[in-house]
Amino acid sequence: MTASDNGSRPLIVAENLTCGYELERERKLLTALVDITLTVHEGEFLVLVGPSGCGKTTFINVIAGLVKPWEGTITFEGKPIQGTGPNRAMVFQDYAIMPWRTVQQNVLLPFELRDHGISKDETQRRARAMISDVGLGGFEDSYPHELSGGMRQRVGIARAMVTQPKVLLADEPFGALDAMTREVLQGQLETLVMNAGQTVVFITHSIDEAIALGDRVAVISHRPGTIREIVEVDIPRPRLAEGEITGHPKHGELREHLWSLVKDEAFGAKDVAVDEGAEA
Amino acid sequence: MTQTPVKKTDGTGIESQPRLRDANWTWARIWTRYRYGIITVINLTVFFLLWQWFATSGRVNPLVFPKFTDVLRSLKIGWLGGGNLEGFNNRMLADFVIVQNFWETLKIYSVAMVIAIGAGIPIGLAMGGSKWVDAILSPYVWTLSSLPRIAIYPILLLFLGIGTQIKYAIILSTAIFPVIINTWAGVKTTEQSLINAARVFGAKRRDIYRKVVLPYTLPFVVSGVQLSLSRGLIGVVLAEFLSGATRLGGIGWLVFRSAAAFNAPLTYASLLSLAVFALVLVQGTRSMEARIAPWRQVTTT
Repeated sequence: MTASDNGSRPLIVAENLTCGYELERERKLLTALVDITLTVHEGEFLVLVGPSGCGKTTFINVIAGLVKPWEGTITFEGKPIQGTGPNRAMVFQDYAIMPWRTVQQNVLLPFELRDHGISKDETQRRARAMISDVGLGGFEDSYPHELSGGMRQRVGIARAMVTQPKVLLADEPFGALDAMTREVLQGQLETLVMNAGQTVVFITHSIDEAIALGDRVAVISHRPGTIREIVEVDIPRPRLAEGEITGHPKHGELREHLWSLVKDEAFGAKDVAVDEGAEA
Repeated sequence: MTQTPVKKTDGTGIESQPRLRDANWTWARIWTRYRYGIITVINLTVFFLLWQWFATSGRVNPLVFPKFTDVLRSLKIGWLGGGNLEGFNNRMLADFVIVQNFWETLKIYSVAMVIAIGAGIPIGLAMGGSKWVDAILSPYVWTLSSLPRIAIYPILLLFLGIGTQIKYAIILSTAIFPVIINTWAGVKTTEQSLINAARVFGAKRRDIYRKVVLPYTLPFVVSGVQLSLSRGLIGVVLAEFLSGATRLGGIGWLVFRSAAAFNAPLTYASLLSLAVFALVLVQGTRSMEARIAPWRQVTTT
């Protein structure tokens, strides 16, 4: 599973990417990312970790095609990314599932919005299978307001994976969940991703989550974000299926190293923390 | 990865409530089940008994505060007809007078409400969806909606004169703005992350409207309609107060004129009829809200 620079096909290539967003109220442009050069390889689980407001979300939005880069290039399988596409799907921090749709209808949404060349019956069948894969079998006809936060995010994951996209983008998907639910979902996500050989770009601000899930962890500095270091996580999978990953001999060392990188950034970010919320 | 498909174990609040199912009725059970109904019945009985007692005690002029039994009698004559008016205050009172005026009010009110809702929703959607439409219409919408509507009555009077048209104008001017503003607010506050999600999964502009913005706005529209129905009711009664009709001026007209003619029982009877109608209307729209958008309770005023 550990796909790094050795051999695996590059899927997403960002070169000297600079990007930002406009603060509408203050009518000014804010640079979120500067000069990012990064490659996502096929089948790898890449985690981006960094202080809040460092531009992680902007980066994932660029990959998704929601945001256009200001400078530099970003390609998917060699072609420049222009807008969203069926090869990329996303899981959102606030779930972003439609409250007026049942679980089944939410998971069917990607098929309604894009023609994936699959018959209606087949989409229904796939949605149901995906729902049971994320552990929501029996809840197909429930509405989101009847589900707990963890279950809602399972819907989000099912919706993203049901079309079997090349890349799964996840923007702090477990950030809003309680610690226990988060661990359960991390384990389930690992299993899902391993089974599907899914390429993932995953944002978090939790070092433990980064180590638990990532093949590589890219540490991003505070805004404007640059890549400080990319750390390989050389711990065999499955890491979460049975018991504690924290017991692994390499875990402590990795954690300390990542923490030392992130700590500087977190403290450095203090002075810009004022407009932290703007990223959302 | 596997989870039993039994709904009861997940702590999601889906599990069914324990039900009273055996026939083992006791007074305690009847009480727990129907207490609100019982309390309401007792409450209202006491209220009307006190009314009757107060009105007959001689402490208050019956021209101002009639006996409840006289009100009931007026209600019967006004709704069902066939009343013996002998020895009873019969100014303005005639067989079926309430039901006829009520029907008159209902006709105008419902037509005006259909127009207000039918025009208000598209206007609100257009204002929410297009910055241009918003920029052009918002000064008028916000000014008119903030202005006490009665202030434009003299101008309406100049234009439309006394008659049915001015009634429609007043009802429309009171009822349309809650619909417009709530619909606009729904479109404007549609969660960006839902729109982003739809875009990621391939939504074009049209899909975003159909699959995200419109369903998101629906509960806002419903509460706008709810508000507009009660505003419209104010409008219709107000319009009838000001109308110069000599007969069949509507229920508001009847309240106003019967009071002017010192027929207090009829005034109270008309008012009670109006109150019951308003109550049914508001409760009806509440249940409509719960049915249309069960996922959400929106309160926007």
